[in-house]
Amino acid sequence: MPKIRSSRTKRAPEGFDEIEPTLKEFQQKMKDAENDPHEGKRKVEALWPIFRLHHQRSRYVYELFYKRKAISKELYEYLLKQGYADGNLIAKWKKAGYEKVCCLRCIQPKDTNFGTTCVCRVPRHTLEEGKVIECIHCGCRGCSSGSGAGSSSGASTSKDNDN
Amino acid sequence: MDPSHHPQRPPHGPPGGPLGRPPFFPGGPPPGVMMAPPPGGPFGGPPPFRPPMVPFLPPGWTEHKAPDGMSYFYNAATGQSSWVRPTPPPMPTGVPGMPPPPGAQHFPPPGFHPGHQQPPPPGLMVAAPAAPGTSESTGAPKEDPSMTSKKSKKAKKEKAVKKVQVLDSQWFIVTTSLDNTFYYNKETKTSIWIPTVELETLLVKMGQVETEKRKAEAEKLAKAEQDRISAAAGGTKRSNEESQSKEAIEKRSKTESSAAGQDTNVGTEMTEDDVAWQLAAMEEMVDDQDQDEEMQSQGDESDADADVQARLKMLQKEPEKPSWAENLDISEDNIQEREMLFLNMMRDRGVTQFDTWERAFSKIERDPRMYLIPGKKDRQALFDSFCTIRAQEIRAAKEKKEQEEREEAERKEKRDKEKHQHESRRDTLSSSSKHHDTSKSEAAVASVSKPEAVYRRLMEEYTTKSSTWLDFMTKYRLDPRFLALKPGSLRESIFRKYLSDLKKGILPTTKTSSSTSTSDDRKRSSSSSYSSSSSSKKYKATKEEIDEFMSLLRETKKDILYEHKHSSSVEWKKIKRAIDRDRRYDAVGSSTEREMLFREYADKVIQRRD
Repeated sequence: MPKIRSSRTKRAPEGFDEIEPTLKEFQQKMKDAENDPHEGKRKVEALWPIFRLHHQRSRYVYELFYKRKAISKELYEYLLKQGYADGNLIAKWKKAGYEKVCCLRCIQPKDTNFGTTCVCRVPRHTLEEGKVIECIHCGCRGCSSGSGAGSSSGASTSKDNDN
Repeated sequence: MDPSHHPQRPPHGPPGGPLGRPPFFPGGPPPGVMMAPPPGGPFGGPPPFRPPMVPFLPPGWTEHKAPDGMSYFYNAATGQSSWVRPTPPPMPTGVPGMPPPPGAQHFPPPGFHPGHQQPPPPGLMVAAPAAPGTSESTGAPKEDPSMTSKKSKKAKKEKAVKKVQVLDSQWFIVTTSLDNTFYYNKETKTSIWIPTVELETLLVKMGQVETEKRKAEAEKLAKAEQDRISAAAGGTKRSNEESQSKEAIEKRSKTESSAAGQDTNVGTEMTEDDVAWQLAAMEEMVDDQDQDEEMQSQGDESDADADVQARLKMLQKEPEKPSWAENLDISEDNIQEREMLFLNMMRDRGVTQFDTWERAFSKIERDPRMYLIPGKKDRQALFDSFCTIRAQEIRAAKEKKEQEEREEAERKEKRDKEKHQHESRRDTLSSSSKHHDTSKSEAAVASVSKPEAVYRRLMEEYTTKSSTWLDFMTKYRLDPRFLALKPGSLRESIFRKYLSDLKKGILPTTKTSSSTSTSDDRKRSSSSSYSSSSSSKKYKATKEEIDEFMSLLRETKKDILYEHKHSSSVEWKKIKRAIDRDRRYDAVGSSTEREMLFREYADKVIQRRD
């Protein structure tokens, strides 16, 4: 994904300027996450912020187009094409029961020992009380549709918004 | 430090592991509790307001650094190693009976709270094994009563839990985990159960000062809350809430003035962040300006505890809402009003539909109306619906504008069409083609009401050779002109037919006539006339497109002349780069055609000049 503007690239469709600051912010955060040192983290844990940001970014675009209808189809497709959001992940969100899926790895049965989905897909009321799960793929704490996963806060439902 | 002590690894090692503290640590921290050495300072970081303790080690003890960075002490003679700094032999004073805090004996309180910044004060583990726990903590920063009560639940052994300084003197009132209070003099390092006479007077004075302070704080707080409420209160329905809250505040302030104060961050809005911070501060006791003084004399212990309990309960009950928010009438009935107010607040604060929740939250968090809706999930849901509504509004406004513009254009077109009608009618009167007639008349009538004609015009307006049905449909599916064409299945077929005609350069209305006025700016006639003269290639540009491109080229006239002057040939390559960003550049689809047009134009320009 180029994301660099030259004289040869086509101009973005209208409406891009309004969302550009948010997208730039995501880009910046992603860079920071990529450059974070790995000290103090598990091997898999170092990747969790990447997955989380990816989810958040795609979620933003998804919400803008499908929920709030704030951008045009043209702009939405442009964003997908340019890599500002993951089309495959969004496709999952459109399906019933997968509205809050955290990442594509967690619903891939080939990635698990028993051919199931990841533990984060289990609804919270089925899990024993008080047990905090962080799935190894993306650090998700529960992304089933009924478990109250916050969509705008991304994959891991850590309540870091001091609401 | 002992000069004979090895800077490097001594033959002994640090005592135990990080968790395996020496067992002869009477009343030491409960095992397993994390004891991070307080950072900084030669004594492991005394809190800033405490003067450092006596640094001398008793004879025979040396200090070393463990591999994890902490320092430990080793007695060469006895072979003991301890994490705790030993003291010179203490002078135990004390009242028999209750294990008093021995004067010079200061047990390190690291296990006492993980977050505390305390030095490991010199503690002699050897002496006073009878002391069932640290009953003294010189380095203990002041603690809040809530801490006291909390701690009392956890600790089984008696420990010093809270210490309060008496009015700038050297006396401290220390509360232990078993709710005993004694008085400790820092200078002489004595601890006593019964205050001396001068201590008594000091205590009385302290009490007075404290009540005064309490009152002042409460008043300030009440005033600030009132101001805030009056600022937030929108209408009359809030006025009785105001008075209610005012009363409640006064009542509360009264109760508070007698008990320990609430918090010192008065005069600013108590947002959730503040409260959370305060809770954290109370737990960690980092804030040393918080002169949280309690009326501590022997008789008052029970009262103090009650106050403590009450405060703790209050704080735990509403950890996230400031006190005045409790008085807002939050019930199920007025949820509609509250939602409306919340939405208004978001509107006021400039929350756009392009914001993420974090952005929006940062915009509205200072506004007291935020607390109208308790609960993070509800707020987020409201925010989402707000964004949808906003997006709808904006779209509606835009559509309206577009509609108006379109109507203008339509009217103008109608006028043009009327004009051309006459001309074309004259032309085709001679023609015998019935089909032509009827179709012509159809168009000639130019009845806006006729759905097919309208649809046709829509197609003309939008389509170029490179358009597709899908794009056209998605773009215009909500357009009234599109929808006017009644059987929906027909729309696609008509469109496709039109498109193929367009591509071939043939359009039904001008099928036979090449005499149609060329001044007609309608694409169909011009395209047919143009293409009839030259071989109808698939991607030949229409006249209109060429005109656009030419207008663009005309702007390059200067460059052409310049190039011609300075170099022998004018290169399309160079000129192309200057104009290719322009929309009109794409008007002509084929690049060879573009170059051809450019060549012609350039030649013309040069000839004119030469």
